[in-house]
Amino acid sequence: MTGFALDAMVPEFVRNFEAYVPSQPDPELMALYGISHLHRLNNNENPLGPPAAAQEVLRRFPPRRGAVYPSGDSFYLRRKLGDRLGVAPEQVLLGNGANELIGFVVKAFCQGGDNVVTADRTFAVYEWTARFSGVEARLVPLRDGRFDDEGMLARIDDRTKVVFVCNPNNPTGTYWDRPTLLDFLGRVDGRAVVVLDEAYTEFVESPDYPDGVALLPDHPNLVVFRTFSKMWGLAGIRIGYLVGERNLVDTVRRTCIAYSVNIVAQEVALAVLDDSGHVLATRALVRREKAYLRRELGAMSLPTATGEGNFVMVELPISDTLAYRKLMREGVMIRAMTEFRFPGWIRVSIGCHEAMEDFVAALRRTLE
Amino acid sequence: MADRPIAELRLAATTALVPLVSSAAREGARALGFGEEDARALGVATEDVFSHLALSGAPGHEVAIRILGSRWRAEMEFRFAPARVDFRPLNLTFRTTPEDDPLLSRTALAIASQLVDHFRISRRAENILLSLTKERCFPKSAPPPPEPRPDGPVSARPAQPHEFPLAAGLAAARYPAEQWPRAFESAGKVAEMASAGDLGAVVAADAAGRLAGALFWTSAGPRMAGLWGPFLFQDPPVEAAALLVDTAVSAMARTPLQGLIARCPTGALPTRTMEPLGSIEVSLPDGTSRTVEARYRQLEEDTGGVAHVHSSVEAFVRDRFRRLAFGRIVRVVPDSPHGSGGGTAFATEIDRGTGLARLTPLWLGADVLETLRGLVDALAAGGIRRPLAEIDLGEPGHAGFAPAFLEAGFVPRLVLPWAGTGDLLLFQLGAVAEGR
Repeated sequence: MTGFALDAMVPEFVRNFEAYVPSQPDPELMALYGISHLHRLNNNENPLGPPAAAQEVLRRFPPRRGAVYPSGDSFYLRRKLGDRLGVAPEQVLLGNGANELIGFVVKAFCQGGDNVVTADRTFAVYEWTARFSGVEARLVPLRDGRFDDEGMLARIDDRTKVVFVCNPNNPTGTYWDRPTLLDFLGRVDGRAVVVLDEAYTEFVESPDYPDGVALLPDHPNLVVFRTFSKMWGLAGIRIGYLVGERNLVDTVRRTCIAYSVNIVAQEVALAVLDDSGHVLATRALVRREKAYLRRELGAMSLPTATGEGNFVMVELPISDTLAYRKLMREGVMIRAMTEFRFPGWIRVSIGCHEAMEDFVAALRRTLE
Repeated sequence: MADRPIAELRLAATTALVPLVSSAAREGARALGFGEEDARALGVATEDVFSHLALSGAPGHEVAIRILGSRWRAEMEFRFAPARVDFRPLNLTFRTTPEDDPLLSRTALAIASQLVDHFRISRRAENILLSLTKERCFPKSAPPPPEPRPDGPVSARPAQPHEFPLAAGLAAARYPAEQWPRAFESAGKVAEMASAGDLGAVVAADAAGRLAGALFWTSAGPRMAGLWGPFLFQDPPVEAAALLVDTAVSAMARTPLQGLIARCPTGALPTRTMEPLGSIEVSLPDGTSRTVEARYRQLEEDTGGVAHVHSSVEAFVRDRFRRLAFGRIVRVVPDSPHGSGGGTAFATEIDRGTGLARLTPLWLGADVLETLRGLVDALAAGGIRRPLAEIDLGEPGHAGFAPAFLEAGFVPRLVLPWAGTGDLLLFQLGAVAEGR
């Protein structure tokens, strides 16, 4: 075959987009950096793993059922989530991780010439999904480390289809309280779909933190994202969901990939929802280790940002991408925050105490 | 920013079509607003290159030609598959036959390279890409008056279009010439480069817009930006350098860029923000040269990789990876016997603005040393006495060039992460080795 002009077939917004390169598997990284162990403290995973009931489901899963298609729309899981959240099962849509849901929403509401509005320093996938879909991503700088409601309202126009609000925000851990969120929704006044990403909601203990799902009856343009990856320790299983008003969810369902949530993910997720003890144990661990980190990092005179969520941001006196490599050589993997537009900062996930101690010791050696 | 082509041609490399191609280059340059002299120079360089391809580089083969550019630069890009595995005609010093033009000291490609501002031959998979870039001549500008001292706190932000020429003029008036690009001599050129997206900048300013400093960047490769500055405009300086670097880094995060290099940073660069890579010698406009410390910053978490090295440079490469904490598997490539019939070829990149030339391996033959020495002589004849040479550590086939570079007097200077298929090992002719 001759004359296959690949470039000519690729839309410009795809051609100009650089693919995300995930980190290599642990054995490869350990060989590259010459280390014998690796603490992964870069993805905000739960060090306790999944709840015991989920582990039991994983252990007992009959291998032969791997040959059978899952429920194409996660029938039983939607029913159970609906019961839990006080909404109809039709208001719930599952995805292969919440990242997939971001794609569903952008596909459902946006076309060329449209835009989405979000913050400049937040979870990158909102911006990326818009850009590689040919949709403008309008990025509003954080104000005092928080999503800037006034700034975002000012950027909404008649081509704005979706507004992404990460609450609490990854990576700052800041959040909008209930009055701020209600005021924002009132002023958006149905001009755009508002996605409230509550990936870290189960970690938040502050009483003024709003429950997005409770606001759905009064706000038909609101969609709430949640995930089983963080609190529920199922990041490797890939499952998340969105909740919204029925007509809105029906619209998103048109662009969703049926059967994208596998059979194991559905069954494990069903099992975890009853385990409130897991949430309490995780919260206690996060509280304890955050206090430890604040103390140790404070002793090193390093500024920190410790908001809600199972992570802490640390400002370093060296480049964060250099710190990433140096810490890798010490067997600790953190997130370099240049990619979140916080140059000079790293984000460390809360892990078990041994991992936190190793991180602190490695950071101390790195900065010597 | 990648330019959109203004014209594309696909034609056979034959001498009969030389006038057509040459005319397309001239007319393309005129369409971009170039003056007669610049357009003619690009036309003549194009004529030389296409004649060379028709006679020896790719005779009779299809050549895809694109004319690209903006209002400050015009580029002729030739893409073709070489006739056979013989890249020799791509050497800057290649002659069609030993007898041809015995009195002519320069060959077609060498002549073409001197008519343009940027000459580049590179290999892309099975294709060769040859590119000629002519920059438009702009009148030099008078230095701007000193900027009033900012009143109150300064913050950093992307530069407004009208601030580019002002900040560039202030930088050129206050800093040594090697620390800023030649384009800064002309406000018009700076404005056109900024408008085309080929020059980026952040400025530090007070609420009224009085400038305390600026930091610029230009392209330094497919996924690399070259930083210029930071420039501070006050005496004593308003401390804004760290703010400028952080704002520039934030502006380039989440773009396809992978790293930043500051080849000749000012003394204001906060050392914590960028890592020392090594030093190279740069030519100064007055004919002298100076050793400058290049600094680097990665914009992404490093993914790790494999480096293929020859044993003669293994210690240097390992030392650089250790210093920079890069996770690399170093594989030593054994010497392989190459044919006795010659065939060595190097791609050449020449940048008249910085006075730098860079040689890149294309094909290794028994005549590698002789070819290399010929190229060094040809570059010296063109005024470039300290050329750079590079080995792509991601390409196992490049490793075998290292002994020839060393024997010809090149010295390893630094490792530039991810600047090629993998990391680039950069040599410079006649410079003093570091860390060996």
